[in-house]
Amino acid sequence: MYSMFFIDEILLRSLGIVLGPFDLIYILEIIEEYSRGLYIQEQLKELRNKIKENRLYYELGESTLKEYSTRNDNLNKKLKKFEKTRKINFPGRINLLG
Amino acid sequence: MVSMIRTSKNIVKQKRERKDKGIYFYAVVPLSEERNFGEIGMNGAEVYTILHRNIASVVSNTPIKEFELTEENVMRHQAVLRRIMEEHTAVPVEFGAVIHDVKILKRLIRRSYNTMRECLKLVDNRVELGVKALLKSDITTFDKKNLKFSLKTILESLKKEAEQSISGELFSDRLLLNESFLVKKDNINAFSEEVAKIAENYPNIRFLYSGPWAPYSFICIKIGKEGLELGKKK
Repeated sequence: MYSMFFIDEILLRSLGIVLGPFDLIYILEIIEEYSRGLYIQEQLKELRNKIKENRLYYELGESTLKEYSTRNDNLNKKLKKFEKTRKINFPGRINLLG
Repeated sequence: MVSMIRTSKNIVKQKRERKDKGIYFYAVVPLSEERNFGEIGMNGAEVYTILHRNIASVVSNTPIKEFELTEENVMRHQAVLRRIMEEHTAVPVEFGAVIHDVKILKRLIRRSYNTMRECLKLVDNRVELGVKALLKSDITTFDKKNLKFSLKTILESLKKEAEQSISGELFSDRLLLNESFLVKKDNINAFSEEVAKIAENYPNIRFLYSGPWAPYSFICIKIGKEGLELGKKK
């Protein structure tokens, strides 16, 4: 005769058992997701500012139309990429019990 | 079987029709009669009004979609607002506001009628003017204390000619001032003269003076979860 044990975070939580290390991993994961979100937000803000700055210099006559357009296209491409990342950046795990 | 195919075709057709029935919302103006501004809207659509008592929503038809914040789209939105403002006081709507149905728009306006009237009073006969000041590109060293004092003086003298002002984000290292002013239409010339005078007095600073704009920074309609919301530009 033998017994099988399924030690799983969800199983243990459903039984009311909380193991410190598991919780720590969970908290670290949340912190990581949160900081990744903040990083993307910051990048988006910075890109938007660069787009505005580029436009400002063009309006002041400090850059040519060609320079402005090339830079503007590049920045917009980057912005779209980051926005896409933000949209699909959902947490890989859903916590149902805790 | 044939009837099932017909039904599903009808559903697809209905869905497509529904998708094309969106309304792009530009502004609210005080107007009691219908008005057509021509084919100047987003995607070259006709811009017209939908009335409710003595206010009108300025709109154009559009497929239901998300409008990208591209320069071309923003310019188009701005151009419509400028055209409207040539004749009317306008409370602008934030860029990209697409409403699914005329009925929904009418319901939203009906619900926020009194607030809209108040807002129209607030911006009546007034426009937004923007002043940006930035260090000239060849200037590398400057007295920070002196510069701070100069900016304070500049702001004070501009505020004298305006009714309200609001500070915008300093999105560039060279940008020293990014201010929007709510100015009475009769006072635009006096304000412009003041800007010119300031520009003359501060040769190390470049000024970018823009407008007249719809008073976005002071009042702006947004489509929120609770219906029409009023806010200021961030």
